[in-house]
Amino acid sequence: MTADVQGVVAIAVVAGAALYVARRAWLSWRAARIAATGEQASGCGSGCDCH
Amino acid sequence: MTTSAAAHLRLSVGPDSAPRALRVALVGNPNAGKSTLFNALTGMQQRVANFPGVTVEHAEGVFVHEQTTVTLIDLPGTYSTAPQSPDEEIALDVLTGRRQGVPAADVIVVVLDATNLERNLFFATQVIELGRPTVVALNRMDRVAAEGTRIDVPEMIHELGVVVVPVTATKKHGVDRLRHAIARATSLPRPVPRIGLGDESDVERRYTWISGIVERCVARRPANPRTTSDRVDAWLLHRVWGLAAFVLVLLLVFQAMFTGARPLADGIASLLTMASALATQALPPGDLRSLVVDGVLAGVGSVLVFLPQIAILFLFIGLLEDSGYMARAAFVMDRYLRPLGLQGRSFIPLVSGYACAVPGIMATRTIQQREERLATIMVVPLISCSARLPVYALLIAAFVPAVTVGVVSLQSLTMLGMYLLGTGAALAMATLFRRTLLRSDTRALIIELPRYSVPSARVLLASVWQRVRIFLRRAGTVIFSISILLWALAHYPKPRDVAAGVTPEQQLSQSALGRIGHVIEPAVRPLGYDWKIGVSMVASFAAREVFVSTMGTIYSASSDDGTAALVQRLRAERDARTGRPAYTPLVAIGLMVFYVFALMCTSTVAITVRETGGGWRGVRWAALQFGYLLVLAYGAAFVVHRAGLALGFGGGT
Repeated sequence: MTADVQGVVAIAVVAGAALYVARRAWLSWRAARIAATGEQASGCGSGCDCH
Repeated sequence: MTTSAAAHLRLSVGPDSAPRALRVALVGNPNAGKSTLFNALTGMQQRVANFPGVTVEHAEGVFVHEQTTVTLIDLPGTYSTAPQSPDEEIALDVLTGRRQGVPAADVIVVVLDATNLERNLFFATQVIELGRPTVVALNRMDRVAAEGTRIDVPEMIHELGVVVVPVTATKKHGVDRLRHAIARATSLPRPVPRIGLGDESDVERRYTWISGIVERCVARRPANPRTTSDRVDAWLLHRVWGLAAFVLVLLLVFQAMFTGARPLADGIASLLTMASALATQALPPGDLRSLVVDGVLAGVGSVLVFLPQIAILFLFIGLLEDSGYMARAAFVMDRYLRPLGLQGRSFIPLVSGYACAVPGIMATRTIQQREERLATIMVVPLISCSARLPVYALLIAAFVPAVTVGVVSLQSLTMLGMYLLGTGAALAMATLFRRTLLRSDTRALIIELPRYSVPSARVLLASVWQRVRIFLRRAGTVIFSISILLWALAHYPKPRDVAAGVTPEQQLSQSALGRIGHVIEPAVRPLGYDWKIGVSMVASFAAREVFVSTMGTIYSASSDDGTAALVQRLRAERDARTGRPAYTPLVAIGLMVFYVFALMCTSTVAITVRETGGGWRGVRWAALQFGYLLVLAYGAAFVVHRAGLALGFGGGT
């Protein structure tokens, strides 16, 4: 595998990780918003799925 | 009801061929064994603890009996149909169908602790008065038999007017008969109210009725005036020895975390080193190899080595809960919590906080008084949760000498010190809140002390496995992704003139992460930290363990030796300007103190918003909590650093 190919694969992996983290952040924000508006929260950030 | 009617109740539980679905609510006093029976009926694993209030939110499970699909709802423990705390309110709302989004139960199963019939029958008779199809599960019959007591079940069916099934949930005895009775309960005559759910005079009448039932149904052997449990309690509940025993138990836990986990942690570290060597061999030099070795393996691996310690922590927490000791600890601590404006009931959420602040905050629902509950919520995050463990363990392993003081290692004592600091700060802040923002009288503690029991190995291991799985899932998702992103930030943009011989340290300094770090540095410099620690601290606002994985990625990126453990790299790190060690024991202690106080957990913030009332009120409480803890963390770390320097312990960078 050449250095260029490695670079392209690495960037693709990084982009995937960025998308995943962004999605998790959005879900957390949404759960916090649901909690703030008094509805039943679910999914990431609502409890249980902690440490 | 006549004897023939009672016989009819038993005999009419015949087969019914039409397929159907039932919603069944499982209710009863706290500690009656509901959660264990729930697991026995559905096969689902759930935490079981010997103190009131662990089942804060209801859980659902399904079993199929013949043609009937039964959805079983496990509800929080309740003493009467007049709710005293938020979790009792939830149970009764579900029972009566008032809970939004949850239909009323078709059948109610009341779990009774057969060793404590008088108290348990109070709530059971109230539930029967609701006039809904009801089955009584008479639990812990093995203990009743061991005590030499005999319960006349047919007579009890006759007295209560509902089906009564003797069971022993822990041994799954009688569970099949109970399933059968549940499936047939709707085809039986509804129970007839006898007392009504009215005023105080009805309470007196109910107790008189219950006394009569117990007299007619229970034949007891003369009781031993002083049981083994009483003799053990004389020590464990003692004013002085009780507290000493509690501190001893904590010390034992931390000692086990260090000594017991070491072989397993070393094994995981060796596996990770092998994986790094394999990846280095398999891939030619380039970005992808660096991503795998310096990003993923260094980042995720640095957190994974703490898995055995986390498993041991949860093993001990489960052991203490399931043996019946935790409720005793709450009782002992009540004496010390009362002058601080709290009571023993606040101790249970605080102890839950050692595992995770989220269930700790949820467990505050058992606290009846609003001000006391809010004060407990505000301080639960000060209790060192398992996510702090990797941070403490890394810094202690790197900078605290592995020497023993008497029979205890200095590393264990340092760890205990961090936990005690958090606990002490939680109590101090609770006092402050109770004397300023949240003033009110403290209520007396009424807590049931469950019998001592040998915890079930199956339940304990299931609970440890559940926590290990959560930790692994986190390592494989959030920490994995953040490690990849941090690797990218630590490697790009690349220096333009690579041929000029740029060192890994220079490359890191010029990377996006290095530049961000240099912007952060002035804020953390007063605490004695360099930009690398600053970046790791900022990254860990998502989750505390990310601090360790970020350090792993950063030090892997700045080093030529891809196999050295993070601990060795931290010890070898030199300040670029002064040439002196970048990390000293003082810097490590300051950092640990920062993590004792700081609230770096998005899940905790979200749960505080919800549990303090939701809406803007909840947001305000959560903001206050986050803000005061950040100020406390920064202030304490600053004081530690400055005081250490003044006393000549040597600073960091």
